Amino acid sequence: MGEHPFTAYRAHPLKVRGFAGWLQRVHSVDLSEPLLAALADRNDPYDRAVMLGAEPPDA
Amino acid sequence: MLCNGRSNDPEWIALAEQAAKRAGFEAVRYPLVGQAFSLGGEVAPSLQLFFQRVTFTEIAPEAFLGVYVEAFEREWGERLSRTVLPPEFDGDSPPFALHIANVGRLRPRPWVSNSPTEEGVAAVLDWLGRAFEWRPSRPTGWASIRSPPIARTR
Repeated sequence: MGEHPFTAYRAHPLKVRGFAGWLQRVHSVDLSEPLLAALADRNDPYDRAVMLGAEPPDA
Repeated sequence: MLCNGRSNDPEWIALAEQAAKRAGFEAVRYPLVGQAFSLGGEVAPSLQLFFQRVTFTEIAPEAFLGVYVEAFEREWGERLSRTVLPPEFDGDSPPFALHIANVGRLRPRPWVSNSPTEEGVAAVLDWLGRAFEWRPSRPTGWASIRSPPIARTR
């Protein structure tokens, strides 16, 4: 199937942003430069403060 | 005439579940839009599947080949549960995926009658079997994800 481009966005940009943040926070992997540079800055329909908040959920 | 939309015909969905099971895939634990399956484990190949209405009388399978990261999806779902989403919100997708239109071995995809026929079912099952062969190489560690780890398939 050839190369799988890791930067082929599929999810809403806020979720991609969330994934990049999760990788950074949980695994100390910084993908912000390759992943976030071209990403749209769009929130709707999500609550950005909850979805990207620094504090992990309680559950 | 072409048309848009996706079919939720339970017979096609059952067929997808059958093909997934045969390939060793299982439904993802934290739901994604469409029919979504992974090979299981914390980081695993995943396949998000739809049946697209391509004409008024025909459907065609459509899939996104990706990697399911369970710990991230779990946290994302927990955060989602603390928000209010509009009723038209139909679910999430994995952060990254490869559309089957870009995968040579999955083209062309079968266009079959809306209502499953013996011939249509065979064509879709054959195609699904090839789609479920999706096996990106797994990252050897999170650090390796920096340089396209999700790279080669067999």
